[in-house]
Amino acid sequence: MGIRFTKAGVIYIILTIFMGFSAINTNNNLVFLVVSFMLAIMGISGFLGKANIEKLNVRIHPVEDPFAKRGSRFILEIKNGKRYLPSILLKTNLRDREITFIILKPLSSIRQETILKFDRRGRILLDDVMVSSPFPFNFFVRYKKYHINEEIIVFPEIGEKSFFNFNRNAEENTTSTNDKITMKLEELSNIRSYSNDPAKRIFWKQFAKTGELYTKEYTGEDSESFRLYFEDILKLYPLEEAIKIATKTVLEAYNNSIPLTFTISNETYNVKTDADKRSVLKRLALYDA
Amino acid sequence: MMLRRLIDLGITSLVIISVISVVKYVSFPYFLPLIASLIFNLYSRKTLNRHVLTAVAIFLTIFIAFNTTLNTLVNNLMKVIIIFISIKLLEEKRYRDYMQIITLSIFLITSSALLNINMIFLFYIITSIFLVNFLIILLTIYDNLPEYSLNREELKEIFYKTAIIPIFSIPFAILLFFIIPRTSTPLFDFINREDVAKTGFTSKIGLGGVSTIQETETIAFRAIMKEVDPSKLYWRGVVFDIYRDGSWHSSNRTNRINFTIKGGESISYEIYFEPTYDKYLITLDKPVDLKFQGTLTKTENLEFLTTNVISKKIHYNGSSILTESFLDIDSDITHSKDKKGITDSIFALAKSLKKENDTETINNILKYLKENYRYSLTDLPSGKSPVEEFLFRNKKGNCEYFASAMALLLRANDIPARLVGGFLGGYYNKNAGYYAISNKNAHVWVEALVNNRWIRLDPTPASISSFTQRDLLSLKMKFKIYLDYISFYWTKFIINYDLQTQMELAVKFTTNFKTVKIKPDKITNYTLISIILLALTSFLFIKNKRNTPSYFINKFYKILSEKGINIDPSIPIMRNIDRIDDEKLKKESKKFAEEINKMLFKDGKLEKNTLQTILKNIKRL
Amino acid sequence: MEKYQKLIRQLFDYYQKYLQGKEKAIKLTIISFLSRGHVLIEDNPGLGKTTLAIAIAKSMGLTFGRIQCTNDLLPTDVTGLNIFNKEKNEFEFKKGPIFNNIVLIDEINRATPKTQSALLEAMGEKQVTVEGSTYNLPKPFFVIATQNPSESFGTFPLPESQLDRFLMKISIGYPRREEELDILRGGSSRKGIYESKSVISSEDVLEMIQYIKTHITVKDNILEYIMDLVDKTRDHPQIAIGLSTRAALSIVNAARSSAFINGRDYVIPEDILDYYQYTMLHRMTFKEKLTSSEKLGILTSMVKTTKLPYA
Repeated sequence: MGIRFTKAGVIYIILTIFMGFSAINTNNNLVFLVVSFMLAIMGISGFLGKANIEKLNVRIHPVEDPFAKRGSRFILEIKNGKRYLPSILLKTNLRDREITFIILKPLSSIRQETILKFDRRGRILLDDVMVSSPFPFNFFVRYKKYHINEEIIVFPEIGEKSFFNFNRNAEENTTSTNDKITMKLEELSNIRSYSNDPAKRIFWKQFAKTGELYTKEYTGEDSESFRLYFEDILKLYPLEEAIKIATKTVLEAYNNSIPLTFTISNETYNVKTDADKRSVLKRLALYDA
Repeated sequence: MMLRRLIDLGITSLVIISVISVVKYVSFPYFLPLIASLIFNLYSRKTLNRHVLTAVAIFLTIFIAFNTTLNTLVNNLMKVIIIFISIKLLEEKRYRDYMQIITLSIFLITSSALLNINMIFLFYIITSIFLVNFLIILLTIYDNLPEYSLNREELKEIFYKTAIIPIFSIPFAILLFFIIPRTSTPLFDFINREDVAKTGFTSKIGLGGVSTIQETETIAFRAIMKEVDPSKLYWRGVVFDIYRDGSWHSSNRTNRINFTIKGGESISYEIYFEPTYDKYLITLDKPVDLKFQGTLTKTENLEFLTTNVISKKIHYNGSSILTESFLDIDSDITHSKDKKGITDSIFALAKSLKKENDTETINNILKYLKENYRYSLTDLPSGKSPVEEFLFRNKKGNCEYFASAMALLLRANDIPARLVGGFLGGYYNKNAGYYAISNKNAHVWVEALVNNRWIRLDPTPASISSFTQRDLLSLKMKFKIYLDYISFYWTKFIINYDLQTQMELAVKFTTNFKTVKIKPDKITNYTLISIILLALTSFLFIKNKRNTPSYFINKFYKILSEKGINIDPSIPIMRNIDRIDDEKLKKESKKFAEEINKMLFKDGKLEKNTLQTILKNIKRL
Repeated sequence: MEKYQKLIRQLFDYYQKYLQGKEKAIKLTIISFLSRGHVLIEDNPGLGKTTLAIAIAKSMGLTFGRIQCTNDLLPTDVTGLNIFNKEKNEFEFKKGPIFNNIVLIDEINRATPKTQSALLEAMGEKQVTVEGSTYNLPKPFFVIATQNPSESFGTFPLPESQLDRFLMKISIGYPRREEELDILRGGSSRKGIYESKSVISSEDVLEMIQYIKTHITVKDNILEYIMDLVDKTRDHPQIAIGLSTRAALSIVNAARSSAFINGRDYVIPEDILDYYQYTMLHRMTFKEKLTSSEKLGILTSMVKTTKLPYA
């Protein structure tokens, strides 16, 4: 909680003092009355200014997954918990990002999107938001720190290199990596009767015709998906670079629906769903950090 | 609506209000550029060059400064402010510039308070406070987000909710007004104005010129006292004993004061006096004693004078005796029997009116004047010798003519006589218990010395009833009297509030608190009432707080905690009760929970007595 | 109110007699039933799900059907199908097992997605469409579906969006030792249930359901509290999809029934908070893979930080 007087505020105070002197000097009660009003307004506006930034509830949550060195969208939400008074002209400062909210009615909330950028991967604690407001008269700015204590996990920076060739910018270096871990396009090799297999591998056409369930089998049954060992990448690149490459690869695999099995420190992840992808990225984000 | 537009509209209204407050004091040509600027500001998006405008402003200010005397200081200050506002309106405006215009407008309104102590000031200041409040809030938003436009609903919300500031500032300001420290003397004593305007009765009666008896209904003074016979309400002010070239003056001698005033009804009163920019104080008929905060001079002619010109509203206490005459044994009658300025025709008339003794002569003159002359306020005699004109040709006039003629006729008959200027009658306000005396009541009568007694003689035929009868008053006048009622308290509590009253109030408060005996007085009554009201509302507020369900639930939890039960306020009541092992306590607690749940979620009405009883029972377990 | 209170007491007495050790599960199931919802029981086999379903049907004199899901179960096996009647020389509709008041769908996650969706449609719409003709299901209609814990092999987990159709997702759990001993001593109570007479009639049941729907007061402060909770799940950073409006409505209905079986004609916060983990948890989709206890932890902290409507 703090207060800082603006230039206008200082001038107002000086004017009040000046008027006070003229009131005493002329002994004119009407001038005294003006001074009284000036003081009263200062006092009440101070109170209102204080109330303006009180009883707020500030929250922040990511709209999309944050990756290091890349701005990602966050929603900043302010809830006004006051029963009667609105909050006007609120400014929030979070990691050098300032957002202004014009008016927030009593018992309502407002959301605003903001872009936050993080320099490194790992856990980041967004501890508090500074809320300030020049309301009501721009004579002073009041501050209050609101704790949000939102821990977010910043995924690693997305590297340029990948084990896939989708990226046109991929250079020789990448291709050489590709040689080491070959990628095969899977081909249908067999159809057998169903036994507790994943739904997506059921031969639905056949099911529709006969009502019996069959499972499709593909070549390289054992390594039905692309396998990637993080430790392998680590052998070729320094840690941070390796993490960047792994991140890029995982993302590309997911985005292009390529089955990928990713192994890191003896933990194996099958990157199929969005949640799988997140788990891997989270693991990479927290690797050695 | 765009913020900028709203702000411009607000600024325009503020400037108009501030200008209206000073419209009486500044000559018309100064308003023309202002009106032009206002229109320009509203309808044109262009702005003029700042430097050129500043140069014009400085030039005009210097011009006005050269024409400034001590007497026109405030008026010229107003002119300068108006010029600056006009010029500011033409410039390109940002937050800073708008704030300057607002400040200048407030200055203008405040400066009007230096020349006018009318209650209308309160209207100006409160209206402008509401306006300025909203304006600055909009400006604050504008300063931060110039392109933002507020919708109607947002505007409404801002407008209503921020009106808290001016609304609450009113009682707060009144409180501050009474407690801001006052001093008995000004800190810097260099702008004490001499007279600026003269109103009401004067220290000089110039016949034939502009009539000094004013037909205005503005209040000259008010006197708190009991109601008396209206025919006795002669308010004494100035005594004119020197007659020169058709006008009367006062000698103001103070060498010898030796009066004996006896034999009439004694009355004490308190007078609230509007500023006259003169030194004479008004007393009721024959004053015995006068208590005034400041130095007073009593003259040989039974007048009271202050040392300084009365330039603000003042009040004083007096006691008088209502009597037609008083004894003045060794009266210096050099002036009163001075026959200078009496023409031959007047002497001739005086001779024809002379009777055997002074008393009869006086009665004859009175009778003659009353029978042959008409009272009039228009078409008054003028010329070289207005009295002669009145007596022999025009034959109509106001009290000044009747009194002058009578005094001269008496002097021609060797009876010492002088004129007394003051007021006659007044409107009694029964509710407030005071007489309001307007400038219309101004009156002049004659005092003649017979057998060492100064006798009051009133030759004017206008009846007293026209000064006093309230039933005959027009509706407009009645309304005015009610307004005066308010205006009276404005004077009494606001205008005349000074160090002394402040001290008195403080003393009153402390003694009233110390001693049980309370002497009711108007000020204390009102303050007491407001304190009681304040206490009552805060009590209701607290009580209201005590009536919320959460109050009872917290109390319930507190009792349970005291009994060693682990309470988690974030879970429902029943789940907290599940943690109780003691059967009896559990049963009672369930009763409480059932009741409060029923009230909250079924009936929607809180029966606090039921809850209190259950809580008491639980506590007893 | 008095009349229905008597009926509900008789019901619970009945269950007390035949179903020891499952009080919690019975209560939750009855609340779902009275709220016109359906219940999903996730448990290992052999913990008395079938007995529970039969007991409910029997106690109210309702018909009972059972569908055992396998991966070769076809939608028509559930809904019924048109069969050519040679005598009449026309197709006639042969009702499937879903045309019962109480339907137990065993191991719903073994059914193929197609069958699942047919089942869920029937649950949601309370009607069945076969070859263009629509057939209304009997009233009351209540589904008790069971599923093996999702990690079991060879299953088609119900899609998250479909889980919304269940008012509650519960688990019965193992009975306590003494209760289990009792069961062992008395043998299976199934036989007794089959032979028992209903304690209330199906008309009574319908009336009771109607009564709950119309006569239990839910004040605005309660509704606002529910909306607060729902809003929180929608804003939570770890939750991808929060509670739907349908979910909120179900919570209100369940709260009504809860108030009713507790002998009140108005809803209090306890009616919501006693069941939040059964009514809310399965309807939310989390961003990351979390264990069920982690999910419950998130939900619980969310519930605890929501201000109770005691103002």
